[in-house]
Amino acid sequence: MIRRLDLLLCGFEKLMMVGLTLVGVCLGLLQIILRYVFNSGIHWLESVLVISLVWAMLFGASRAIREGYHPRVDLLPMAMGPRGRAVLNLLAYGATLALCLYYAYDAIFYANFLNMIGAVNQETDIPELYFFLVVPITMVFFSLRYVLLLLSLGRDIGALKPEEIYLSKIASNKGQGK
Amino acid sequence: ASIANAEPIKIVMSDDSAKVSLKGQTFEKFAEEVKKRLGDKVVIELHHSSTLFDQSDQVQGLQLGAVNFIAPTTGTYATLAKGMNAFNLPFLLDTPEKFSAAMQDETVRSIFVPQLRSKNIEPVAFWINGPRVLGYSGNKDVLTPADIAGMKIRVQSAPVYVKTFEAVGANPVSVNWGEAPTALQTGVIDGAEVTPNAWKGSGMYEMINHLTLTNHMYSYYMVGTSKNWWDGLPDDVRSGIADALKAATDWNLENGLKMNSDDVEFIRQSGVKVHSLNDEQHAAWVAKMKPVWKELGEPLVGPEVMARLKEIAGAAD
Amino acid sequence: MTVAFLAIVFFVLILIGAPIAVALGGAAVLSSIFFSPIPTGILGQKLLTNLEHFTLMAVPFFFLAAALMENGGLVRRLVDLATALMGHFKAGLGMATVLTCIFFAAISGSSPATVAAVGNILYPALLKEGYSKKFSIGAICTSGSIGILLPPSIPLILYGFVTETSIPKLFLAGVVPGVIYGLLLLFTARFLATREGVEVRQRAAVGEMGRAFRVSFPALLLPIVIIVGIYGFPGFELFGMQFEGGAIFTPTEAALVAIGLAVIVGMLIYRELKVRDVFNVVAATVPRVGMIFWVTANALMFGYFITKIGVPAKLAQLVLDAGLSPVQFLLCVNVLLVIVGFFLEGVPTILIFAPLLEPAARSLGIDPVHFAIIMVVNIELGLITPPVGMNLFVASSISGMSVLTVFRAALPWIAATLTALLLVTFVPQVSLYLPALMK
Ligand code: NA
Ligand code: NA
Repeated sequence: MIRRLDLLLCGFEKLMMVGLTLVGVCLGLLQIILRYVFNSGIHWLESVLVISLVWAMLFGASRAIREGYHPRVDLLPMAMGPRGRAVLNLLAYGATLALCLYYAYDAIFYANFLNMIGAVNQETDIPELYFFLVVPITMVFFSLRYVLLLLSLGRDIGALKPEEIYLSKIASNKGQGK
Repeated sequence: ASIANAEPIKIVMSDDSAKVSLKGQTFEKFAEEVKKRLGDKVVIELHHSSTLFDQSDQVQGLQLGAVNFIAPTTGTYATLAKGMNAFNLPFLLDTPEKFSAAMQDETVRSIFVPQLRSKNIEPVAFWINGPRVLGYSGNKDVLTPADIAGMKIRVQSAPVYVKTFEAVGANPVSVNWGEAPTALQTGVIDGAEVTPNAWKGSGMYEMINHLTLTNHMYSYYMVGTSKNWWDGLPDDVRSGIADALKAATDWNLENGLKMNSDDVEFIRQSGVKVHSLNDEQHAAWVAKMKPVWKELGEPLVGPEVMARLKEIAGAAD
Repeated sequence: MTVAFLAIVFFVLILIGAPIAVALGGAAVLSSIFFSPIPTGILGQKLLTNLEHFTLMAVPFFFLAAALMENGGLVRRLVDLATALMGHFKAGLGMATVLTCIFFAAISGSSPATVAAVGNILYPALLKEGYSKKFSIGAICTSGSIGILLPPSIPLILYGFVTETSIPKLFLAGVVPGVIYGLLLLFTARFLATREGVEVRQRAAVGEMGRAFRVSFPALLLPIVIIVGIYGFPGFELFGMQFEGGAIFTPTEAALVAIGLAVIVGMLIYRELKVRDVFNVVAATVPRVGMIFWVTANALMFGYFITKIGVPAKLAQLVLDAGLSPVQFLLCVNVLLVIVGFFLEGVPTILIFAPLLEPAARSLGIDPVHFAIIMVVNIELGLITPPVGMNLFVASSISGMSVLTVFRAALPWIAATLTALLLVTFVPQVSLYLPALMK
């Protein structure tokens, strides 16, 4: 179950990261070519470039949870035994999950608000709502990722590097072909 | 309960330009006038330089009640009332008199006031920003549209600015304002078209050697407040703020005109060649840019309002 | 009261090991809930508007450019060139390591990326040449830090972004300190290698040098295009046509061009990069940049909250009232940043402290550009100090040594970093000379 959800999240994240980053890079190169070679330009290019990259990077940030890239200071956890660490990890990851859920709630409220007022992006004529959707979606992704992490840890909640435990468990599950 | 013991009302104002700019000073005046009239009944929080909200998120901040007064350019509200883009059509409402007449006209108001009110925004005042003028570096004078052909001019990325400069054969480039000084300094763009106040305030006048007073658009700010908040204020507080706003608006008109011409003079003194257009040259710019009315105006506001706007502007197609 | 609460929540979250982004965002959110309510929806909105800036896109672009250079075989050829140029000198390969770091630094905006790219190739090479493990890993770990001082530089981009300082100016300001720091490192390499008594290699034949240069030429194009693109070339006349000088690209565009060139050189000239690899490089790089974006969004959230309650203005006032001289202030800042550097990485350091300290520095008449370079050199030091030091981590994974062993190996080199720090702090002209020429 955990593994299947992880696969699903990974697939979607990768699609967004690679697809939208390449879109952003291509639009950027196109803009440079248009500007310097043909002395012309498309006025909405820049805002679409920016939004594609922001989408890609936020999905990347979700993926970064899985890989353990989000920097943290683990001095105190390091100084403690497994029991103390278990408490700290529960607190730290609990707080993280709480913040992500709060952001998700706030972002869903705002998305709803944008939908209600129908604000339209000036450069592209696209409703602002569509640009904004990345925030509620990735906040839900973030929350799911932390829930998966906490669930998969189970007894190993006292680990010094919880993400490594998670990755190794996902990998070992693979063999069983669940 | 006695009014004297009531909690003071907090008024949050967010300014997206610097404290020393015309708008920053108008905001300071506004805050001062409110304080003068309402004293301890209010606490005023005034944030300059986009530190609280910037150009892109202030309107939503206002609607949600995180800020009580903002004053972005009229085009900023066009995300909610598309027709407001029409106020920036080139050579249409190109003087404070014409603009002010249009803002009092019921037909014109019908394209944005109901839309904004239904989205919790109350338009409470209009402040002037200034005429848009063309600054550029290079070794030729730009006096007619033919002179600008092929030049890379930085514009805001809304269609009305892009089309206007495409119409004269320039190459409009939408570099965002934050990167514009660098882009100008390094030659990524040849010029830009902002108000004299903005040329001075951004330090960008040091990077140009010509300024042509094209005055192709006049830029205005619309002061907006949150309708729910505004309607919910005690009567004495609301009328106190309204009076203060009136005083600040008068100050803005009086000093804005002077400040813009002072700024042109300042830029001239700093060694930039300033060109005014004679009637014939002016007419050439109008002739080239006016087709944009037809292309954008009617689709934005419909034939009836467009006709009314033209009537106010005293112009035919 | 609010400030105390904010600070306590922040430090508690940091201490218990919550991600730094969460400590920043969590402290702001919790304080706002208790003391200074923000209407629902605003925080959600800010998460996006904090990131929607064209300038910020330079960060993923430079990361991608560097990763593509490494995968396309460009870095390896730069290493070969540096070896051919320096190999026959006393301590030649040691100095070549520093030189390669300088080459690569001129495309990479990140020091850990420099350590990773150069280290993976040069660490085994140094061992083979007879250098000790201690020397080799110390050299790589420390020289790599130059990546954020020489332009382009992610911390400088972020500094410019949060304080609204001109990024090309910041980039230029890093050049002289970067070159001085590089020379200090070259000197250290020579000194240490001589003490170790490493044998000298035979001078490369002129033909071999020429070959190395020819082969690496397309790779050398990248730093050249970036530097010329951002700062421009003098005007010239050719066949009666007048070419105007001046820069060609904004930094963000230069990074895009670097990506394009890295792909072209890697795919068509060196033929080491396949279309598949490009996808893989993107998929591997984006999560690392995503992390930076997430910290940025939360740091700006934190910034929004402290602005709302008026902290930076009060802090600047406090510094003024305390009557610190600029020199005293800079000393305090250095001590603070060295301590912070033990625990925090460069990106959060800039994002947390630049908006707080820059107004205070400015009120004392310290040039924001000068101040930025001081911050960046401190960050370089922080990259090599335990317990949290990205360069240490990367070097440890390259060499298989423990983090503390790597740190001990880096200690003699840190003398060079400290010298650079003192010089940059007390001689503003080192940073300000070049930007002043830009007119
Ligand atoms: Na660099
Ligand atoms: Na450190």
